[in-house]
Amino acid sequence: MTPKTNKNGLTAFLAIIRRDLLLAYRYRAEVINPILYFIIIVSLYPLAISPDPKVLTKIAPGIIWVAALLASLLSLDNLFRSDYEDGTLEQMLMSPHPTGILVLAKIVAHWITTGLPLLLVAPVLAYTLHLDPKAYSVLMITLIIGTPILSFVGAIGIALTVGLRRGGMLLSILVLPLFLPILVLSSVAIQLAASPRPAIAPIIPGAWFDSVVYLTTQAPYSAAIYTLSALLILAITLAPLATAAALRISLR
Amino acid sequence: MPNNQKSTQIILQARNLTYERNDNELFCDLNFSLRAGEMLQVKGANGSGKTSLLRLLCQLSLPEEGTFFWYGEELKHVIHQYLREVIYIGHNQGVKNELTVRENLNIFNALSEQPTKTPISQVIEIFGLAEHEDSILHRLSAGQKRRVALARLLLHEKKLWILDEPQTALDRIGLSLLENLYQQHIHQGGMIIIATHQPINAVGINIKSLLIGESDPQAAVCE
Amino acid sequence: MFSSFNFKYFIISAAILLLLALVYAPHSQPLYGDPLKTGTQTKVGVQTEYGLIGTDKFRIYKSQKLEFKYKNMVVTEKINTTAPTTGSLFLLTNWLYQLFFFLITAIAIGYSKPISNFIKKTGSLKYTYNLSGKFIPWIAILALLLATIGIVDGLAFAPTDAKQKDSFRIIYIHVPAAMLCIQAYIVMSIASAIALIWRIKIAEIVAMSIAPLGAAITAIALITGSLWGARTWGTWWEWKDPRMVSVLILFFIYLGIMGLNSAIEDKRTAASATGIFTLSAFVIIPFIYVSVKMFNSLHQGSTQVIGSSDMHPDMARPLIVMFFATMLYFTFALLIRIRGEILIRDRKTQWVKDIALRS
Repeated sequence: MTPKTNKNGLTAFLAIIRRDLLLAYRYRAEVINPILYFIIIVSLYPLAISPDPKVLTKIAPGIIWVAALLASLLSLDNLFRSDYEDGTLEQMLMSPHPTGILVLAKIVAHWITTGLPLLLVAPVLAYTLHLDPKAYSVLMITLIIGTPILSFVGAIGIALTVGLRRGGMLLSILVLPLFLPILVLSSVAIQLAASPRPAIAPIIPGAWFDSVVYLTTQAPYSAAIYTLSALLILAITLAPLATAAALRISLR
Repeated sequence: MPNNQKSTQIILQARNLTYERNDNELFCDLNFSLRAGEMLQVKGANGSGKTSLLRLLCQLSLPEEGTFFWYGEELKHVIHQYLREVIYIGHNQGVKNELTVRENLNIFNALSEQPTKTPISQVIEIFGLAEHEDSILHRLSAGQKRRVALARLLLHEKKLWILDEPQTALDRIGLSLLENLYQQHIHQGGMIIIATHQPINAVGINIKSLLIGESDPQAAVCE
Repeated sequence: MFSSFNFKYFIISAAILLLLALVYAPHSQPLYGDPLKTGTQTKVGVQTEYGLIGTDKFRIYKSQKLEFKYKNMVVTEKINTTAPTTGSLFLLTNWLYQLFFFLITAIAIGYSKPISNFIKKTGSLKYTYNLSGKFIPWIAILALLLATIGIVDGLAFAPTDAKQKDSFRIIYIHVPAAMLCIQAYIVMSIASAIALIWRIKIAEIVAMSIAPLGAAITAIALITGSLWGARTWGTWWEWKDPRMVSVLILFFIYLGIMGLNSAIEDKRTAASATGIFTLSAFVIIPFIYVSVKMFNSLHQGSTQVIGSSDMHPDMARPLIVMFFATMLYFTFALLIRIRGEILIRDRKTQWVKDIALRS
């Protein structure tokens, strides 16, 4: 029997993350593309609908989230395509490590290169869209929780369509219905945060944790954020399994 | 561990393999077996199913009917041990064109559970890639890329090598290197399954032949 | 009998199903500051200028552990409440029914090997073709009969509604279609799961055939629903109604399944890929039910109407008949599709060639 070492799944996980980040760094001009796409889509709405700040304030959460959705959809293609074309994906499926771990590593690396830059640009764009200042924290929270869900759910879609010749449009049809609940929940949360809030007596006036207590128990948008977090946990645990199964099928 | 004894135990066996693609039956009721120190050459016309058979062996596709046996046990019960002992170099070579030679080999090292049989620098030396160690594979020729792909064979100790047309793009030196590798592996008790229609020029190796396609009397005609 | 029982599968599936039963256990929904009586039936919806829309009915149960409050909902009217004891009895029977059903499922999973062998033996395509051929005429006749009875009863004999006059009668098509589109998706998921796990051809064919029919019946549900809304709410489409929007998402998912199926050439690979997508998108089914509560508690301005509002039995009777009629018609259309697909898949075998020669 062949000797085993202490190289376990964690080593493979980190190796794949390091490899994908190295590839992204080597072709770092391409990392800018989703960010530019995001900015361009956000700038379409004020031009098309109305530059009036009163109108933009109301629709700002929706604009940012629709743009995040579309940018995420566009960047999904390079999750598995290059690995599929040069045979590396087959080798990953044949490795003794559980495929779910390797897929998880790829999705995490993908989010770091495409989702995380969106988080950095979003507050600036929200400022240009005149988003209510009260809603910024909720905007960032929904983006931090929601964009990984988009990466995970999108990974299932791209795993199914990576072997098809013209899979781009089909990917959108498959994946956008699954994105819709996330879009609605996040938009609603930000809109609730932006709307006028009733004055709530703080539990201990002036205490530092008052805002945390408010956020977790009394805020009207807390239900939406809890649901988003639940969806994120569901996606992290189940999406790699579905993606691994879909990859095996695509590679038949 | 290197095993110089010629054992008569059948290690890999395939029984009643039937595979269809796009409602076309490629082969029916295929049987073969392989012992330690044997090499199987899969021959057949283009499109007859050589690559499909190799992919079945790697469990990348599933057969319509039939089972594989590894050390006498059904493959699906010992799939993890099996995959640890198999290396597959397929039609697309499995190396990343955007990484350097050394980076590629490091990744393969990290992805495998075993320690390296030969240190990476030595592997690069043996394959004649020393001066291109840090070049991105895009800039190398097809033959050099093929050598990087084949370098994986020396990295880890694997019992079964499954190779799909490994000699494409290799020059004379590369070919002789490859044949040396075959001989070394077979003499150490390993097994090789190779799909190619070119003659294999290897001295002292017992090469079995498997012919796939309509001209094969062995493969039953599918109804 | 017990030697072929796989105890490991039984334990794992029973544990998972028990967890699911606990999660879906009935829970109480007292309002903020106004505890409701157990057994009360209540309606939740969004108050708009057209009246209360997007409503759903819930029955109040009491459960010590799982109690939560809705924040943005306001009580507008209390009609009448039913006795408290019936609620707890209902709760108990619901629980027992769920547990019994899950136990049967776990036992079936434990017997999965002999069941799959049985299906492999009798699930051959030729057997299915011949067997369904015997049933199809009867199903068609029965569907036609029940449909005639249901439609005539619904259009002519059901009493006129006080508020909606005669326009409510579209529910005799809308409600069966809506229930059927969800049931079709569930059957498609079960067939896809069987096809993925045991790679049984007939399951693949069933899953593939349900997709276009499910899309069609969802379209019918959406169109009849919007026609009904045009009459009662004054608008053809209401984005505020979470159930309407979730069924629209279900429609897109059906279309996506059809698209993915036709994009992959090899039929077996296509069936597996479609199966994975069907199971991944299954979350939309509970979402359709949960979305009403979820979005009415998120949006401000939702109202909750308390009281019983069961349907008049003369109105409900044609509904039940139409439901069975629609289900039978769906089965009829499905069997025709399945038979056609069987002939295509087995076109190179002798028995299909005999059929072709005969006709």
